[in-house]
Amino acid sequence: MAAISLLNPKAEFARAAQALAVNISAAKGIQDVMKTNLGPKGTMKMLVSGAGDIKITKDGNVLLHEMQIQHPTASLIARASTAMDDMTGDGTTSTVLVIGELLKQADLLISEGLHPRIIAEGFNQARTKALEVLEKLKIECKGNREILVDVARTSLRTKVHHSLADLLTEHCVDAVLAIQNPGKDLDLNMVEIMEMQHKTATDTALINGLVLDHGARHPDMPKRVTNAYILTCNVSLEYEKSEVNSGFFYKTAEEREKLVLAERQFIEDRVKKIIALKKKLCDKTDKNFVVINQKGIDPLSLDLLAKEGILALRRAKRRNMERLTLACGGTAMNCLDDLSEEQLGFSNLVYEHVLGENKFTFVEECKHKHSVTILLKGPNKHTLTQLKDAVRDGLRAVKNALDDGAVVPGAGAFEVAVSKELHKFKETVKGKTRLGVQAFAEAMLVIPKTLSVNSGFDSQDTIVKLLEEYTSLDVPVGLDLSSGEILKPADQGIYDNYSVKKQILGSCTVIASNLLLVDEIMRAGMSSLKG
Amino acid sequence: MSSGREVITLQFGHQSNFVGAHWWNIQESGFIYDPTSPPSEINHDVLYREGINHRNEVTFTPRAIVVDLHGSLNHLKTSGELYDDPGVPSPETIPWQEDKIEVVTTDQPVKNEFLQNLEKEDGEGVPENGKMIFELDNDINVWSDYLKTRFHPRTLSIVNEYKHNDNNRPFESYIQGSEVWNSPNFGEDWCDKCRLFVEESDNLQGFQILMDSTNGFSGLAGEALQYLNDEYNSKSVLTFPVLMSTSSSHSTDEESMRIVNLVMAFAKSSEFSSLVVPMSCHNTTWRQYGPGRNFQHLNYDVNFSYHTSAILASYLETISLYYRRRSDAYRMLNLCSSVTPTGRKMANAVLSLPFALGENGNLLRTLELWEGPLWSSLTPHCEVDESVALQSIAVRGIQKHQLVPTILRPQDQCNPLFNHTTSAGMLDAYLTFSCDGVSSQVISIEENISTTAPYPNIFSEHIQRDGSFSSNPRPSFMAVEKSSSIAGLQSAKSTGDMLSSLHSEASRLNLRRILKSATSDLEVEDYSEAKETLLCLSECYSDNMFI
Repeated sequence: MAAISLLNPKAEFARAAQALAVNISAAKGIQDVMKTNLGPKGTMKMLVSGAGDIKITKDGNVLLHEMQIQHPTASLIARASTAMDDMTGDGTTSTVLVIGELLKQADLLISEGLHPRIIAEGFNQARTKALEVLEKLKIECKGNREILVDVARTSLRTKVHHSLADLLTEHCVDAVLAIQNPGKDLDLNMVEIMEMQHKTATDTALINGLVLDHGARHPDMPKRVTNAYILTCNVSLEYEKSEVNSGFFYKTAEEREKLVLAERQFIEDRVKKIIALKKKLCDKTDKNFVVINQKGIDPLSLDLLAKEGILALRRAKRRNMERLTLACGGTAMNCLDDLSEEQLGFSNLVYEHVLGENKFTFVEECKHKHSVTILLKGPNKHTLTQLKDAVRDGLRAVKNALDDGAVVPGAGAFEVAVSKELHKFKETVKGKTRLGVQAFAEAMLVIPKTLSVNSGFDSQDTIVKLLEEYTSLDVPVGLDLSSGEILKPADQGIYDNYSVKKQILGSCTVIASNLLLVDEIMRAGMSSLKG
Repeated sequence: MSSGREVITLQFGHQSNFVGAHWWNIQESGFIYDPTSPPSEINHDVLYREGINHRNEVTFTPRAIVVDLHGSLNHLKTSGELYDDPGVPSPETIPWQEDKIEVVTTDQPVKNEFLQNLEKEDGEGVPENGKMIFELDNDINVWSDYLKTRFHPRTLSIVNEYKHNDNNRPFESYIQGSEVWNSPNFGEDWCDKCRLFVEESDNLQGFQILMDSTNGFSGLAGEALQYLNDEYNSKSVLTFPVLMSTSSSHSTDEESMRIVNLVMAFAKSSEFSSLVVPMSCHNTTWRQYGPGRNFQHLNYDVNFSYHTSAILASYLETISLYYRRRSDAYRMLNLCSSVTPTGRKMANAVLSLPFALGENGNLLRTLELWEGPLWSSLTPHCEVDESVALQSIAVRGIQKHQLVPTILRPQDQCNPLFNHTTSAGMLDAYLTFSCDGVSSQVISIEENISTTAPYPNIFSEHIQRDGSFSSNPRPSFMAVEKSSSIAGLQSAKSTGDMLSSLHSEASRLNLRRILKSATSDLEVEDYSEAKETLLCLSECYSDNMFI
């Protein structure tokens, strides 16, 4: 009997072998759920809620978020895997599979009497060796667009249909390359992702410039302007009644009127400053003027601006202030005194697109191109959501490749190589620990095995072939999912992110070891008392 | 298109949404569809927006963002029905290998009688459900079970990290809420929704906020308030913390957690709002929920959210008239500043529902014969007493012809109440005489509150179909269709007493003990700062002299 039950007779607990069994079965369970999703030939899942909300996805990360996981161990694994996605943008499914497989292999050894501690030690040594293999296999890719396209395509083809994936790949790579600024950290926030429920997914486009999700709020403002100065500002052009009714500031109704007028005048003066600048720069030229304000602009101010043919947008996104200056040049102004031409951005084309009640304003053909927009299109909400998830992951894959300066051969090649190298390494390990190393080597093969099963091939066949080829050729070899034959990933352009693989090795080992070393599970919190 | 007095409604949490759902229903039942009748005295454009969907149909939906947990919506679709294509696409249309598509369907929830009826009418296009009586008391589990209003796709905002009614991982602490806000998905998404509503408003008055204040939503709302304060600092923010009991038994630790959340919620909301009005149907709410407030003509179950939220919604529907009337330019800002002198950011809510005229059917006699206070308090730990300094009152549902009796007595001419032509004027005069030294302002409209289904059947049998009182009971097949009401905001000494009682309750807590049992930790400093804020606030109420 566990000590806890002396203190709390209602506590539930599981000890030693029983605890391990609980953990292992949970890990296997979640592995089974996720297994079919791996790789470009995995299953697509359509989730329909009772209310009719639809989600179509095969992204492990999205699925884990959607699933209602009750089991504590399973939810631990799920959270570790989604945390992995938060950091690198990919590898969720692989993490779940590898953790499950590590525990499965360990289970075999434990049932033969090996102590979990020794297995954990073996896992640890195996991981160190695997990381060495990773270093050896990585392929430098300094600024090579080809390879960036390949790595993004590899990632995206596991999320969406391959024709769409190829389209998105190009956009993702171009977007990241556009915002890349040598010497500075790559900030993916500078790629705006805008959704438009319109046309089909294949109409998704990369816009050199910005797409804003709002438009002019005055019927007389121009819908399309060319050669436009862009004033980006964060200045209120909205008259707001202040608390003049509290009675301290005026005694008579006339005084109050005056106060109101003075305040209104204050706003109008600001508008006039903009108009003055516009007159100075644009009158008698073919140039135009656009104001994009983070604060509000009230109808009266809009009217004044519209009379001058100025296109004005209010309540822009905070982040767009930064993006706009990166795309069009100029600076975001917090004050309208002493405006001059240098503070303005420039764009050759600004136009509005109306879709039902939604307006979009395109700011294109800009002076600089340090901020771009990926404009997602789709006939319905769930397509857009799916695209958005995919594009985010694609962007992340490109960013990872640039940050790492290296990629790793994909299609299961890396795992095969690690497995093989670990088998060699095993011979040098003394004592029972080598069994742990061996288990790790076996577990890594779950990736190529699952890939092959998902593509409709025999997993035994595939593994034997892969291992043989790897030994004889001594270069990384992967699985061709359409023929079931062996391929060299480098020839086909199938690459994975270096940092993703590194993360998988790290977090899987840690979590699997931790779960192995659990020898007692108890549940004695407040919530169990309630029931 | 819009009138330029827009208000955006923000709802945080399941309890708040219960109130919100009733409120939207009440408003929608009050819509006048008949083009020949005079326009409503209420300007519905303040809280609603006109839009157009992709089928080119005009829509009229609340300008609101509603936050709740995953799994709390039942049959309600996240993106609403108005803008989305109905139906589930067939798997063949998905661009993927056909044999590799797996469809996972969750069972459709069973719709209750009311919703089925609503659906049926929708097909036939007859807005005629006022005549029906529904016995919904056993069928209501979540607020969407009785929601009549259709939402804009931007309105629903779902927290996916936590599940509704999940005992394993409850959403119970302030810190959990602020963590959700700062998670990559939620905060930014919410701010974007809010920004788009602000962008389309020509001259926003401000935000009205309903927030759960005893669970994780307090943290979510606290962070949102801070954001509003940063981003739209010139707008008014009117916050209604909602307190409702959800289940009867709580462990001591849960109670302590609730106190911590309350302290944080009250402190944050008073820091970042123009006016805070805590609302509850219980008379005490700190550790144990006390018995319900007494309303003369209501029989309701105080532990049943469907009932209590209807009362709170009626209050909101009445008091919000201050910034929703068509006839004048009174704004939320004026209301907030009228009851918040010298830093008194918190005010009491009082309500009289139904404010049924006696059998004589006129306001003059009813007031003459009235005994005791006119209304009951809706703010916990605050009783209706003499300590009131300022009050803003709204009356609705008294028609012009109901002001004075048709048969006059000679002494009526001398009655100072007699010469008033509106219910506001008469009530104002009454209050001047009955509550000495209280500075009051009163507004009124003639329109009643619509209490047709799905408003719960909580009226006593002496209230007639049209909301009047009669000693003969109402026939059982008939529901009360409309009701008059009085709602008020009071700045009183008792508000300060409430705050100091919460403060002393909070000081008694051993924070470390609670935090050990909670999953996430609250900064001890933040907490003591919040307690300090409450204490300072309560001191503002100590003396009525300077107001």
